[in-house]
Amino acid sequence: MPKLLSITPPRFTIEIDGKTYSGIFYASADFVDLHLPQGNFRFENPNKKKKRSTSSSHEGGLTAPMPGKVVKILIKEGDGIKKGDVLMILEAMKMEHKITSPRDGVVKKVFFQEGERVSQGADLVEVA
Amino acid sequence: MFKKILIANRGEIARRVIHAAREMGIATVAVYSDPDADSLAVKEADEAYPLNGIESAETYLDISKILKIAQDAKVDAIHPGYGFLSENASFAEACQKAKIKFIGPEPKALKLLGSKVASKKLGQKAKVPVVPGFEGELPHGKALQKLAEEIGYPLLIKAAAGGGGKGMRVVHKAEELEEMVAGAEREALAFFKDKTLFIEKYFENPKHIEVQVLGDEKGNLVHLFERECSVQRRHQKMIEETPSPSLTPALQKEICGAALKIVKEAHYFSAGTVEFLLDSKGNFYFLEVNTRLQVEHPITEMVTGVDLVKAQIRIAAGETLPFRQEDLSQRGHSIECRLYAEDPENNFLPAEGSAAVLVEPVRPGVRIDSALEEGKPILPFYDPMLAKLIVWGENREDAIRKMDALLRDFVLLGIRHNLDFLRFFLETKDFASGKYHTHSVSALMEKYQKGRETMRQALVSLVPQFPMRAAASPIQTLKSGSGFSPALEGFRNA
Repeated sequence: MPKLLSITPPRFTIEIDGKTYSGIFYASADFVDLHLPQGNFRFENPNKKKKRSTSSSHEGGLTAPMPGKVVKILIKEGDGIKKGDVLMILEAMKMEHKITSPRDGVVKKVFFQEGERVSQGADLVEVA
Repeated sequence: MFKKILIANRGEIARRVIHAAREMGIATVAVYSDPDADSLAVKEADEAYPLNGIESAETYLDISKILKIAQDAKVDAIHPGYGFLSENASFAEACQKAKIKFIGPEPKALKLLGSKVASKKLGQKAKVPVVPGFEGELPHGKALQKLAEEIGYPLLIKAAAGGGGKGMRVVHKAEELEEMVAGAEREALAFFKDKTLFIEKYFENPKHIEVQVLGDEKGNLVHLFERECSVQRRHQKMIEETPSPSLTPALQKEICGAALKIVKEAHYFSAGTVEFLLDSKGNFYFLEVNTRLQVEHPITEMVTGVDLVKAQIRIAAGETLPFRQEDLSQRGHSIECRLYAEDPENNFLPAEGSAAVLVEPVRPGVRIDSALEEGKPILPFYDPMLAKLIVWGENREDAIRKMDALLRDFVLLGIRHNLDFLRFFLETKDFASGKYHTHSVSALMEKYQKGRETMRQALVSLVPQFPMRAAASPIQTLKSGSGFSPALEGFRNA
């Protein structure tokens, strides 16, 4: 079993398979980032509050895979859509990313307007 | 020599130019957008003026705002860095009119070589092989489909005024063509204010070789050898090295000679880079000339001992090149790794966060060109590149080991980035043998993730023992930060 031997921010030492490693960490309310000779690892806080967590409305929701700006919305509420349809285009650092529908359905809600900024993980579109 | 120059850029390259100018006894003026108000470049410059805005178009691309500041601050010259206005002929012309020297080639050369269409013709005129493709404005509808079939799939669509992979798309089949063209046009318009595209044959496993050139206004021209930039993802470079492991001495001589032929034909001066594709049979094709300082210029500086930024400034001030071709040689080997705020485990998509913990190691043969500052937020407004990690070694193997050690010890916590992927790639057999190509990255993703799984599993049980409440989340930090509120208005942070 791996063991945490000591923790004096920002440093910590761990033992894995009888070997000791020294690392550096940064903990926020949402995650902890660990730096070790083996690399860098992020772990989300399991108790973290979910972004826009409104139980049922999250069902069938599409979330932003990256932070950025909504540059184009190709659908409106009430539209019938097919799996693979492009619903929205996000842009971050001058890179475009298409949000496509994971299945057939009807657009129940669009949470943003063109030109608005979104955080990673924010709900974009709800498909019923 | 100039007494004062303005740097029309941001981030690490603004700092690079500020430092070079300072060493030459030249005063510096920085300009900045709202999110950059607290950046290192602003603090390090002798003077700094706001561009008032967030988007590139209203800040670092706004010619009249920048020229107004340059005139008010009474600068002699403007260094454009790379990206933004660096290859913009109208900007160079506007500088000329305002009697401010543009540190770069003349507007005529920017116009000629900035158009990929015209520069391709130039390559043919200089009798250098070029990539098969269509040289002209793209048609639409049926004519576009017909043209695509004539060149043959797969195809590459590029922004005519482009660079750095912006506005680029690979099209594998006819059904994708129209949508890809539309997306590339939007991206080209957003970044270059010019939606002209062009189309060419796409090579499956090519090597990207480029040659650095320098010329003065009197017509003296030299090359500073090649750089290999074959490790790319989404057509954007990730690792560069020089000398290239793919060139024999004979091929190196040939390709550097071809580069000189092209810039000679264009009567080029200042620093420039001639890009080539090298196929698996050792044939090379001229792609384009980048009429600016390249992101990866440091590796050339490491092996030749020439400071390219200072050379650009001296050339712009009318000085003669202080060396001839026979004075230049490559010593040792240099590698650059680009640190991006991009998450390899999330398809290399941009990430946001902060440089909560930062350790940039200083050691022999290591150079870090960075704009990171510990405790400061990293927001997705401009380029995802955070820093360049550069090493020099006596030979390639020494340089690889040095980079591996640097990547191991470089610490950046608070944001997801590509450091581990860079290190993984450097350790692969493909990289060690030099047999990697521009599409190696996507082929290796699975292996990379598998390799990390064991360690991740070992660590996961320890996570609850770390105090995950100590600091606020990066965005909350930002809200209480100074001068940042305008940038955040659009954020929906529920």
